[in-house]
Amino acid sequence: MRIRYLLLNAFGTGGTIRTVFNQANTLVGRGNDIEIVSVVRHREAPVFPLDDRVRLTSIIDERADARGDARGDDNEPAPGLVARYRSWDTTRLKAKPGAVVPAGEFGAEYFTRYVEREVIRYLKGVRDGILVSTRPALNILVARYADPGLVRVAQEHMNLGTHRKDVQQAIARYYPRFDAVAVLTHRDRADYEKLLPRTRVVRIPNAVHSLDQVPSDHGNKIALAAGRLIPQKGFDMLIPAYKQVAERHPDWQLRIFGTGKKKAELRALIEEHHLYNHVFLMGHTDQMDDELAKASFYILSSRFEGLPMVVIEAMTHALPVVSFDCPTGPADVITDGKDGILVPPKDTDALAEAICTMMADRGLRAGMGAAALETARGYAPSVVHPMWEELYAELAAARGAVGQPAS
Amino acid sequence: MSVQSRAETPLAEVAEVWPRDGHIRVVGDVHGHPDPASTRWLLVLALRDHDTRLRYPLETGSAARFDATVPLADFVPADPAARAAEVKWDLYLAPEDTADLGTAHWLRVGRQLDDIRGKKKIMVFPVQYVRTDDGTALAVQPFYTIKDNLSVECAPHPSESSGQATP
Repeated sequence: MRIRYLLLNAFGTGGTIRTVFNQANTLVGRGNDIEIVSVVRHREAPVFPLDDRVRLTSIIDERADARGDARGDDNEPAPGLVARYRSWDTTRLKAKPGAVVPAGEFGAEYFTRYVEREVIRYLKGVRDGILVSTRPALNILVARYADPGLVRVAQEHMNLGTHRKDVQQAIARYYPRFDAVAVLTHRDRADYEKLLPRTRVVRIPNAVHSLDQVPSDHGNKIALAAGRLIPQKGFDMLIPAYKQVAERHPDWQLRIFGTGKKKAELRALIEEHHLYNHVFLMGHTDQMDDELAKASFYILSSRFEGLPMVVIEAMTHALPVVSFDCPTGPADVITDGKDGILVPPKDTDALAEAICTMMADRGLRAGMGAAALETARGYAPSVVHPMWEELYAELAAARGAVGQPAS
Repeated sequence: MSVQSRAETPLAEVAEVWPRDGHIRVVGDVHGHPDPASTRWLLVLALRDHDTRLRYPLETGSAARFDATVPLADFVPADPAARAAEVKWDLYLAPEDTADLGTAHWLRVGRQLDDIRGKKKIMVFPVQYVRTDDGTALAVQPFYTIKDNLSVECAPHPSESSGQATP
């Protein structure tokens, strides 16, 4: 099958990018023809590993822009009138907010009128195969502008309740044009089915990249959290909560991996609570598997999620998880008291208490860790990725032949 | 998988640094020394690129633990001319009988035995401010060097231009 994935930025580090790459790697290995189309490209190579057989292309190459500037030497012929008009028009459109993507989309700032125009131009040229888009902005563009003859699948990596009202309205209006809408959790599937009663909604969780991982021995006094340093991840709640923890377990440390806009604010919180000996902003690592294996349990402090993959990846290292029961994901994955501890969302006292429970008892960590490893097996690539293949094959069959030009 | 390695040579390993309440307190352990508990240790602050050395006798604790507290004012260079630019103090632990010898005889205070590389950007400590007798405001901040050793920087207060301290 010929399958195209449309991503906003395949060269970034988010969970959506990683899970799409995982899908692409497995599906290309099973003999499918896979292309990942990145709306923007700002660097040479992607951060996450991608099989050589997967074609990676981009719509707007920002590296080319940078080179163009550098090339502007005296030997360059003066651009013609048409080129100058185009350049002026592009600059104008780059300054205008998008007209298609709702302002409430979390990535709306990237979808200027120029980006929308380029994406729509690209979509009009796609004539065959299966087109999979991966966030509301792209889903809405695909629903409205891609050839209705294509098999189109919308992936949602966030839960419905997270989207702002204008985005939910656009979802209700445009998503029925998709052959299927794929969501990550059972709870989210129920929500989408209510909103889109005549649309096929499927639940397919993301797969972990591997189950063959070094397990933690739960002996190091290290708790680990990871995610971009943005409000969604709730590190601004975790750090104050950790103050109570550090008083009771001063020989433990909390390592927070990730980079992001809120770094300075989080650093200030660490200083305010005098946690500079106990809480470390570790920055980016390309050895997350090693870091997880060294830790003794994982902490998720998010305000909301889709399906937090890093939690399941932690579980592949036999790490139990302490987590807010936020929408959605933690409750789909973690069984409270079995492979982790769930506490009410945003309840920082309960979070601190659960962290202390975990720190106080290595036997508990080991037991829950073993159960976590068992839970993670349900998210093996070999379990999850055939679900995509089956879905695509079924949708294609329902439309007739795939790989033929759409009529 | 343990994250703590063993000391090959004697070293003064930092456990905690507390820059607060007008002091800098450093707590740690001597590793790889044959008899740390019955040695009398001094904390030595060595002003980098100068001959200035400040020595602080430490309580002989049990086992190998050391615990030293230095008031912020001590990090201000005695020579007022040296206050206009930033200075760095390197921290050492010296056995008493070598206290007058050079840095080669002392243990550099640092954090070498754990698994975290690049502490300079990860283990970052708050800055504290101190005002000298002549009214100059200075910023004092412990930091890890690129070799994961502990030093303290004393620099002119960023919001006050040097030599023009507000009264």
